[in-house]
Amino acid sequence: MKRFLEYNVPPGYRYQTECAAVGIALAISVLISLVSFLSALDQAQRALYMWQSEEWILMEGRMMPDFITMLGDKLLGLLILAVFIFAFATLSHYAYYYSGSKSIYLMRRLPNRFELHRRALLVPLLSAFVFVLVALVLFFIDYAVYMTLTPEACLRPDQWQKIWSVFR
Amino acid sequence: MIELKNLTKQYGTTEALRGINLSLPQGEIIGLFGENGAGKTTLMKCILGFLQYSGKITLDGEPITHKNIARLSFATSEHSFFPGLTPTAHAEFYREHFPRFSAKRFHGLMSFFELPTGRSLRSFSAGQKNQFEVILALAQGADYILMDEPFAGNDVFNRQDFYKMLLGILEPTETVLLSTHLIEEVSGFIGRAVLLRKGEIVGDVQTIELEESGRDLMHFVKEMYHYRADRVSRAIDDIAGEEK
Repeated sequence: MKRFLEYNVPPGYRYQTECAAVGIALAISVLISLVSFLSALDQAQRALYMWQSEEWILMEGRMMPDFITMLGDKLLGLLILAVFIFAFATLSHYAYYYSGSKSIYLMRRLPNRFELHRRALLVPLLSAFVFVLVALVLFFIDYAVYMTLTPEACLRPDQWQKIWSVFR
Repeated sequence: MIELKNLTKQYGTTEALRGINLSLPQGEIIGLFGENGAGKTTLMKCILGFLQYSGKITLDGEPITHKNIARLSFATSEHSFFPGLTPTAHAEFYREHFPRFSAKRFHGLMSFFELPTGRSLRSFSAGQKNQFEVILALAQGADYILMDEPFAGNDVFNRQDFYKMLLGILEPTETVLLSTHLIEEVSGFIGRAVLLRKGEIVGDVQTIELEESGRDLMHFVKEMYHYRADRVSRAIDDIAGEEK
Protein backbone atom coordinates (compact mmCIF):
# COMPACT_ATOMS: atom_id res chain seq x y z
CA MET A 1 0.00 0.00 0.00
CA LYS A 2 2.82 2.39 0.95
CA ARG A 3 4.65 1.64 -2.28
CA PHE A 4 1.46 2.02 -4.30
CA LEU A 5 0.75 5.42 -2.77
CA GLU A 6 4.33 6.64 -3.14
CA TYR A 7 4.24 5.65 -6.79
CA ASN A 8 0.91 7.32 -7.48
CA VAL A 9 1.10 10.66 -5.70
CA PRO A 10 3.49 13.51 -6.54
CA PRO A 11 7.07 12.52 -5.56
CA GLY A 12 7.77 13.52 -1.96
CA TYR A 13 4.12 14.37 -1.29
CA ARG A 14 3.05 13.77 2.32
CA TYR A 15 0.19 11.45 1.52
CA GLN A 16 -0.20 10.30 5.15
CA THR A 17 -2.10 13.48 6.09
CA GLU A 18 -4.38 13.13 3.09
CA CYS A 19 -5.04 9.43 3.85
CA ALA A 20 -5.86 10.24 7.48
CA ALA A 21 -8.25 13.02 6.43
CA VAL A 22 -9.99 10.75 3.91
CA GLY A 23 -10.23 7.93 6.48
CA ILE A 24 -11.71 10.19 9.16
CA ALA A 25 -14.17 11.77 6.70
CA LEU A 26 -15.22 8.31 5.55
CA ALA A 27 -15.69 6.95 9.08
CA ILE A 28 -17.71 9.99 10.23
CA SER A 29 -19.92 10.00 7.15
CA VAL A 30 -20.59 6.24 7.42
CA LEU A 31 -21.49 6.65 11.09
CA ILE A 32 -23.81 9.59 10.42
CA SER A 33 -25.48 7.78 7.54
CA LEU A 34 -26.01 4.55 9.52
CA VAL A 35 -27.24 6.24 12.68
CA SER A 36 -29.67 8.47 10.83
CA PHE A 37 -31.08 5.53 8.85
CA LEU A 38 -31.44 3.30 11.93
CA SER A 39 -33.10 6.07 13.90
CA ALA A 40 -35.58 6.71 11.06
CA LEU A 41 -36.25 2.98 10.87
CA ASP A 42 -36.80 2.78 14.61
CA GLN A 43 -39.26 5.68 14.50
CA ALA A 44 -41.21 4.13 11.62
CA GLN A 45 -41.31 0.79 13.38
CA ARG A 46 -42.61 2.30 16.60
CA ALA A 47 -45.48 3.76 14.59
CA LEU A 48 -46.53 0.23 13.61
CA TYR A 49 -47.21 -0.86 17.18
CA MET A 50 -49.41 0.19 20.01
CA TRP A 51 -49.02 -0.41 23.71
CA GLN A 52 -51.92 -2.43 24.99
CA SER A 53 -52.30 -4.64 28.04
CA GLU A 54 -48.67 -4.18 28.90
CA GLU A 55 -47.36 -5.33 25.55
CA TRP A 56 -46.66 -4.00 22.08
CA ILE A 57 -49.27 -5.06 19.54
CA LEU A 58 -48.92 -4.69 15.80
CA MET A 59 -51.68 -2.44 14.54
CA GLU A 60 -53.71 -3.90 11.75
CA GLY A 61 -53.42 -2.21 8.37
CA ARG A 62 -50.36 -0.15 9.32
CA MET A 63 -47.64 -0.26 6.67
CA MET A 64 -43.97 0.66 6.77
CA PRO A 65 -42.88 3.47 4.44
CA ASP A 66 -41.01 2.20 1.36
CA PHE A 67 -37.31 1.54 1.79
CA ILE A 68 -36.36 4.20 -0.71
CA THR A 69 -38.48 6.76 1.13
CA MET A 70 -36.89 5.80 4.42
CA LEU A 71 -33.41 5.99 2.95
CA GLY A 72 -34.08 9.47 1.57
CA ASP A 73 -30.84 11.45 1.28
CA LYS A 74 -28.96 9.52 3.93
CA LEU A 75 -26.26 8.42 1.46
CA LEU A 76 -26.05 11.77 -0.27
CA GLY A 77 -23.39 13.02 2.18
CA LEU A 78 -21.04 10.25 1.08
CA LEU A 79 -21.54 11.09 -2.58
CA ILE A 80 -21.02 14.81 -1.98
CA LEU A 81 -17.85 13.99 -0.02
CA ALA A 82 -16.65 11.80 -2.91
CA VAL A 83 -16.86 14.79 -5.28
CA PHE A 84 -15.34 17.16 -2.72
CA ILE A 85 -12.43 14.85 -1.89
CA PHE A 86 -11.69 14.25 -5.55
CA ALA A 87 -11.64 17.99 -6.26
CA PHE A 88 -9.65 18.94 -3.15
CA ALA A 89 -7.05 16.16 -3.43
CA THR A 90 -6.55 16.80 -7.15
CA LEU A 91 -6.02 20.51 -6.55
CA SER A 92 -3.69 19.77 -3.68
CA HIS A 93 -1.62 17.39 -5.83
CA TYR A 94 -1.25 19.87 -8.67
CA ALA A 95 -0.53 22.70 -6.22
CA TYR A 96 2.31 20.61 -4.71
CA TYR A 97 4.28 21.04 -7.93
CA TYR A 98 4.32 24.79 -7.31
CA SER A 99 5.09 24.80 -3.60
CA GLY A 100 8.65 25.03 -2.28
CA SER A 101 9.99 24.73 -5.83
CA LYS A 102 8.71 24.59 -9.39
CA SER A 103 8.84 20.82 -9.78
CA ILE A 104 6.13 21.32 -12.39
CA TYR A 105 9.01 22.13 -14.77
CA LEU A 106 10.43 18.67 -14.23
CA MET A 107 7.08 16.93 -14.45
CA ARG A 108 6.21 18.73 -17.67
CA ARG A 109 9.39 17.67 -19.39
CA LEU A 110 9.21 13.99 -18.56
CA PRO A 111 9.22 11.69 -21.58
CA ASN A 112 6.15 9.98 -20.12
CA ARG A 113 3.52 12.63 -20.77
CA PHE A 114 0.95 10.96 -18.50
CA GLU A 115 3.15 10.87 -15.40
CA LEU A 116 2.16 14.35 -14.18
CA HIS A 117 -1.57 13.69 -14.46
CA ARG A 118 -1.41 10.09 -13.23
CA ARG A 119 0.28 11.21 -10.03
CA ALA A 120 -2.23 14.05 -9.59
CA LEU A 121 -5.46 12.26 -10.48
CA LEU A 122 -5.26 8.54 -9.74
CA VAL A 123 -5.37 8.59 -5.92
CA PRO A 124 -8.15 11.24 -5.74
CA LEU A 125 -10.14 9.17 -8.25
CA LEU A 126 -9.63 6.01 -6.19
CA SER A 127 -10.58 7.87 -3.00
CA ALA A 128 -13.79 9.08 -4.62
CA PHE A 129 -14.44 5.55 -5.88
CA VAL A 130 -14.03 4.17 -2.33
CA PHE A 131 -16.66 6.65 -1.12
CA VAL A 132 -19.07 5.58 -3.86
CA LEU A 133 -18.35 1.91 -3.12
CA VAL A 134 -18.94 2.40 0.60
CA ALA A 135 -22.21 4.22 -0.21
CA LEU A 136 -23.25 1.19 -2.28
CA VAL A 137 -22.34 -1.25 0.52
CA LEU A 138 -24.25 0.90 3.03
CA PHE A 139 -27.23 0.88 0.69
CA PHE A 140 -27.34 -2.94 0.78
CA ILE A 141 -26.74 -3.06 4.53
CA ASP A 142 -29.61 -0.59 5.09
CA TYR A 143 -31.81 -2.64 2.77
CA ALA A 144 -30.98 -5.89 4.58
CA VAL A 145 -31.70 -4.30 7.97
CA TYR A 146 -34.98 -2.85 6.65
CA MET A 147 -36.12 -6.22 5.26
CA THR A 148 -35.10 -8.12 8.39
CA LEU A 149 -36.68 -5.81 10.93
CA THR A 150 -39.89 -4.97 9.09
CA PRO A 151 -42.77 -7.38 9.84
CA GLU A 152 -43.88 -9.06 6.64
CA ALA A 153 -47.46 -7.91 7.07
CA CYS A 154 -46.31 -4.26 7.07
CA LEU A 155 -44.05 -4.56 4.06
CA ARG A 156 -45.27 -2.85 0.91
CA PRO A 157 -44.75 -4.89 -2.28
CA ASP A 158 -42.35 -4.15 -5.18
CA GLN A 159 -39.56 -2.55 -3.14
CA TRP A 160 -36.94 -3.12 -5.86
CA GLN A 161 -39.15 -1.68 -8.55
CA LYS A 162 -39.60 1.43 -6.46
CA ILE A 163 -35.85 1.68 -5.95
CA TRP A 164 -35.23 1.35 -9.68
CA SER A 165 -37.88 3.93 -10.46
CA VAL A 166 -35.74 6.51 -8.63
CA PHE A 167 -32.80 5.87 -10.96
CA ARG A 168 -34.89 5.85 -14.11
CA MET B 1 20.90 21.22 -33.33
CA ILE B 2 18.17 23.33 -31.74
CA GLU B 3 16.81 25.89 -34.17
CA LEU B 4 14.55 28.79 -33.34
CA LYS B 5 12.86 30.40 -36.31
CA ASN B 6 10.97 33.64 -36.01
CA LEU B 7 10.12 32.87 -32.38
CA THR B 8 7.67 35.37 -30.94
CA LYS B 9 6.08 35.28 -27.52
CA GLN B 10 3.45 37.69 -26.27
CA TYR B 11 2.15 38.16 -22.74
CA GLY B 12 -1.11 39.97 -23.38
CA THR B 13 -0.10 43.03 -25.37
CA THR B 14 3.56 42.87 -24.30
CA GLU B 15 5.97 41.21 -26.69
CA ALA B 16 8.48 39.25 -24.60
CA LEU B 17 10.26 37.80 -27.64
CA ARG B 18 10.24 39.28 -31.12
CA GLY B 19 11.13 37.20 -34.15
CA ILE B 20 14.07 35.36 -32.60
CA ASN B 21 16.22 33.36 -35.01
CA LEU B 22 18.87 31.28 -33.29
CA SER B 23 20.77 28.05 -33.82
CA LEU B 24 22.27 26.08 -30.96
CA PRO B 25 24.59 23.43 -32.39
CA GLN B 26 25.77 20.50 -30.30
CA GLY B 27 28.97 20.87 -28.34
CA GLU B 28 28.86 24.60 -27.60
CA ILE B 29 28.78 26.44 -24.31
CA ILE B 30 26.64 29.48 -24.92
CA GLY B 31 26.11 32.39 -22.58
CA LEU B 32 22.71 34.07 -22.79
CA PHE B 33 22.85 37.60 -21.51
CA GLY B 34 20.47 40.49 -21.13
CA GLU B 35 19.00 42.80 -18.56
CA ASN B 36 16.10 41.73 -16.36
CA GLY B 37 13.03 41.28 -18.52
CA ALA B 38 15.04 40.91 -21.73
CA GLY B 39 13.41 37.54 -22.42
CA LYS B 40 16.09 35.03 -21.37
CA THR B 41 13.85 32.92 -19.17
CA THR B 42 10.97 33.18 -21.63
CA LEU B 43 13.26 31.95 -24.41
CA MET B 44 14.25 28.88 -22.40
CA LYS B 45 10.68 28.15 -21.38
CA CYS B 46 9.59 28.32 -25.02
CA ILE B 47 12.32 25.85 -26.01
CA LEU B 48 11.17 23.48 -23.26
CA GLY B 49 7.55 23.81 -24.35
CA PHE B 50 6.35 25.40 -21.10
CA LEU B 51 4.92 28.39 -22.94
CA GLN B 52 2.82 28.82 -26.06
CA TYR B 53 4.55 30.80 -28.78
CA SER B 54 4.45 31.56 -32.45
CA GLY B 55 7.28 30.61 -34.76
CA LYS B 56 9.15 27.34 -34.91
CA ILE B 57 11.47 25.50 -32.55
CA THR B 58 13.05 22.26 -33.70
CA LEU B 59 15.56 19.76 -32.40
CA ASP B 60 17.44 18.13 -35.25
CA GLY B 61 14.60 19.15 -37.54
CA GLU B 62 11.86 17.68 -35.37
CA PRO B 63 9.51 19.63 -33.12
CA ILE B 64 10.29 19.21 -29.44
CA THR B 65 7.75 16.79 -27.99
CA HIS B 66 7.69 14.07 -25.34
CA LYS B 67 9.53 11.84 -27.79
CA ASN B 68 12.72 13.91 -27.73
CA ILE B 69 12.31 16.10 -24.63
CA ALA B 70 14.69 13.84 -22.67
CA ARG B 71 17.49 15.28 -24.79
CA LEU B 72 16.96 18.59 -22.98
CA SER B 73 17.55 19.25 -19.31
CA PHE B 74 16.83 22.36 -17.30
CA ALA B 75 18.33 23.91 -14.20
CA THR B 76 16.54 26.96 -12.89
CA SER B 77 17.01 29.31 -9.96
CA GLU B 78 13.34 28.63 -9.20
CA HIS B 79 14.40 24.96 -8.70
CA SER B 80 12.61 22.08 -10.32
CA PHE B 81 13.36 19.30 -7.83
CA PHE B 82 10.92 17.89 -5.27
CA PRO B 83 11.58 19.56 -1.90
CA GLY B 84 10.23 16.61 0.06
CA LEU B 85 12.53 14.03 -1.57
CA THR B 86 16.12 13.13 -0.79
CA PRO B 87 18.84 13.27 -3.47
CA THR B 88 18.90 9.46 -3.52
CA ALA B 89 15.16 9.38 -4.24
CA HIS B 90 15.70 11.96 -7.00
CA ALA B 91 18.35 9.74 -8.56
CA GLU B 92 15.88 6.85 -8.57
CA PHE B 93 13.18 9.04 -10.11
CA TYR B 94 15.54 10.27 -12.83
CA ARG B 95 16.79 6.75 -13.52
CA GLU B 96 13.20 5.64 -13.99
CA HIS B 97 12.29 8.46 -16.37
CA PHE B 98 15.49 9.35 -18.20
CA PRO B 99 17.13 6.29 -19.73
CA ARG B 100 20.47 8.09 -20.17
CA PHE B 101 20.67 9.25 -16.55
CA SER B 102 24.28 9.02 -15.40
CA ALA B 103 24.48 7.70 -11.84
CA LYS B 104 28.26 8.00 -12.05
CA ARG B 105 28.12 11.72 -12.83
CA PHE B 106 25.40 12.24 -10.24
CA HIS B 107 27.31 10.60 -7.39
CA GLY B 108 30.60 12.12 -8.53
CA LEU B 109 29.18 15.64 -8.40
CA MET B 110 27.31 14.96 -5.15
CA SER B 111 30.51 13.94 -3.43
CA PHE B 112 32.52 16.77 -5.02
CA PHE B 113 30.10 19.34 -3.59
CA GLU B 114 29.80 17.33 -0.37
CA LEU B 115 26.01 17.27 -0.52
CA PRO B 116 24.19 14.85 1.80
CA THR B 117 22.29 12.16 -0.08
CA GLY B 118 19.87 11.08 2.61
CA ARG B 119 18.32 14.37 3.71
CA SER B 120 15.29 15.93 2.06
CA LEU B 121 16.02 18.90 -0.19
CA ARG B 122 13.88 21.05 2.08
CA SER B 123 16.67 21.05 4.65
CA PHE B 124 19.38 22.17 2.18
CA SER B 125 20.80 25.70 2.18
CA ALA B 126 20.02 27.98 -0.80
CA GLY B 127 23.50 27.35 -2.24
CA GLN B 128 23.19 23.59 -1.83
CA LYS B 129 19.80 23.65 -3.52
CA ASN B 130 21.32 25.46 -6.51
CA GLN B 131 24.15 22.95 -6.68
CA PHE B 132 21.74 20.06 -6.57
CA GLU B 133 19.55 21.61 -9.27
CA VAL B 134 22.56 21.84 -11.58
CA ILE B 135 23.74 18.34 -10.69
CA LEU B 136 20.39 16.91 -11.76
CA ALA B 137 20.52 18.81 -15.05
CA LEU B 138 24.04 17.56 -15.73
CA ALA B 139 23.33 13.96 -14.75
CA GLN B 140 20.10 13.58 -16.74
CA GLY B 141 21.99 12.49 -19.83
CA ALA B 142 20.72 15.36 -21.97
CA ASP B 143 22.43 16.70 -25.06
CA TYR B 144 21.22 20.24 -24.35
CA ILE B 145 21.52 21.58 -20.83
CA LEU B 146 19.58 24.78 -20.27
CA MET B 147 20.53 26.74 -17.18
CA ASP B 148 18.63 29.79 -16.05
CA GLU B 149 20.54 31.80 -13.44
CA PRO B 150 21.60 28.56 -11.78
CA PHE B 151 24.14 30.09 -9.39
CA ALA B 152 22.06 32.90 -7.91
CA GLY B 153 22.90 32.75 -4.21
CA ASN B 154 26.16 30.79 -4.49
CA ASP B 155 29.46 32.28 -3.42
CA VAL B 156 32.15 33.10 -5.96
CA PHE B 157 34.45 30.19 -5.02
CA ASN B 158 31.61 27.80 -5.37
CA ARG B 159 30.73 29.18 -8.79
CA GLN B 160 34.34 29.00 -9.96
CA ASP B 161 34.51 25.37 -8.84
CA PHE B 162 31.41 24.67 -10.82
CA TYR B 163 32.70 26.25 -14.04
CA LYS B 164 35.90 24.23 -13.80
CA MET B 165 34.04 21.06 -13.03
CA LEU B 166 31.64 21.68 -15.90
CA LEU B 167 34.46 22.20 -18.39
CA GLY B 168 36.07 19.01 -17.17
CA ILE B 169 33.07 16.72 -17.35
CA LEU B 170 31.15 17.90 -20.41
CA GLU B 171 31.22 15.55 -23.38
CA PRO B 172 31.94 17.09 -26.80
CA THR B 173 28.33 16.48 -27.81
CA GLU B 174 26.83 18.29 -24.82
CA THR B 175 25.58 21.83 -25.25
CA VAL B 176 25.08 24.28 -22.43
CA LEU B 177 22.88 27.34 -22.74
CA LEU B 178 23.63 29.41 -19.67
CA SER B 179 21.57 32.44 -18.81
CA THR B 180 23.32 34.65 -16.29
CA HIS B 181 24.15 38.20 -15.28
CA LEU B 182 27.66 37.18 -14.24
CA ILE B 183 29.18 38.23 -17.56
CA GLU B 184 32.78 38.66 -16.51
CA GLU B 185 32.77 35.52 -14.46
CA VAL B 186 31.68 33.23 -17.29
CA SER B 187 33.61 34.98 -20.06
CA GLY B 188 36.47 32.49 -19.91
CA PHE B 189 34.18 29.55 -19.78
CA ILE B 190 31.73 30.14 -22.64
CA GLY B 191 32.49 29.83 -26.35
CA ARG B 192 29.69 31.99 -27.61
CA ALA B 193 27.66 34.89 -26.28
CA VAL B 194 24.08 35.71 -27.25
CA LEU B 195 22.67 39.04 -26.13
CA LEU B 196 19.00 39.71 -25.71
CA ARG B 197 17.50 43.13 -25.36
CA LYS B 198 13.78 43.81 -25.10
CA GLY B 199 12.97 40.45 -26.62
CA GLU B 200 15.35 40.73 -29.56
CA ILE B 201 18.78 39.33 -30.24
CA VAL B 202 21.13 42.29 -30.38
CA GLY B 203 24.38 40.35 -30.40
CA ASP B 204 25.63 36.87 -31.19
CA VAL B 205 29.37 36.35 -31.16
CA GLN B 206 32.00 33.66 -30.68
CA THR B 207 34.27 34.62 -27.78
CA ILE B 208 37.30 33.76 -29.88
CA GLU B 209 36.27 36.48 -32.33
CA LEU B 210 36.20 38.95 -29.45
CA GLU B 211 39.63 37.86 -28.33
CA GLU B 212 41.00 38.22 -31.84
CA SER B 213 39.62 41.72 -32.12
CA GLY B 214 41.09 42.62 -28.74
CA ARG B 215 37.75 43.21 -27.02
CA ASP B 216 36.41 41.52 -23.93
CA LEU B 217 32.92 40.24 -23.34
CA MET B 218 31.88 43.00 -20.96
CA HIS B 219 33.00 45.60 -23.49
CA PHE B 220 31.01 43.85 -26.21
CA VAL B 221 27.88 43.71 -24.04
CA LYS B 222 28.14 47.38 -23.18
CA GLU B 223 28.62 48.20 -26.85
CA MET B 224 25.59 46.21 -27.92
CA TYR B 225 23.51 47.74 -25.17
CA HIS B 226 24.69 51.27 -26.10
CA TYR B 227 25.72 51.61 -22.50
CA ARG B 228 26.58 55.19 -21.56
CA ALA B 229 29.42 55.18 -19.08
CA ASP B 230 28.65 58.73 -17.95
CA ARG B 231 25.03 57.81 -17.11
CA VAL B 232 25.67 57.32 -13.40
CA SER B 233 27.79 60.45 -12.90
CA ARG B 234 25.18 62.54 -14.74
CA ALA B 235 22.39 61.16 -12.60
CA ILE B 236 24.40 61.87 -9.43
CA ASP B 237 25.09 65.40 -10.62
CA ASP B 238 21.39 65.91 -11.35
CA ILE B 239 20.24 64.55 -8.01
CA ALA B 240 22.93 66.35 -6.02
CA GLY B 241 22.31 69.55 -8.00
CA GLU B 242 18.59 69.43 -7.22
CA GLU B 243 19.29 69.07 -3.53
CA LYS B 244 21.65 72.05 -3.55
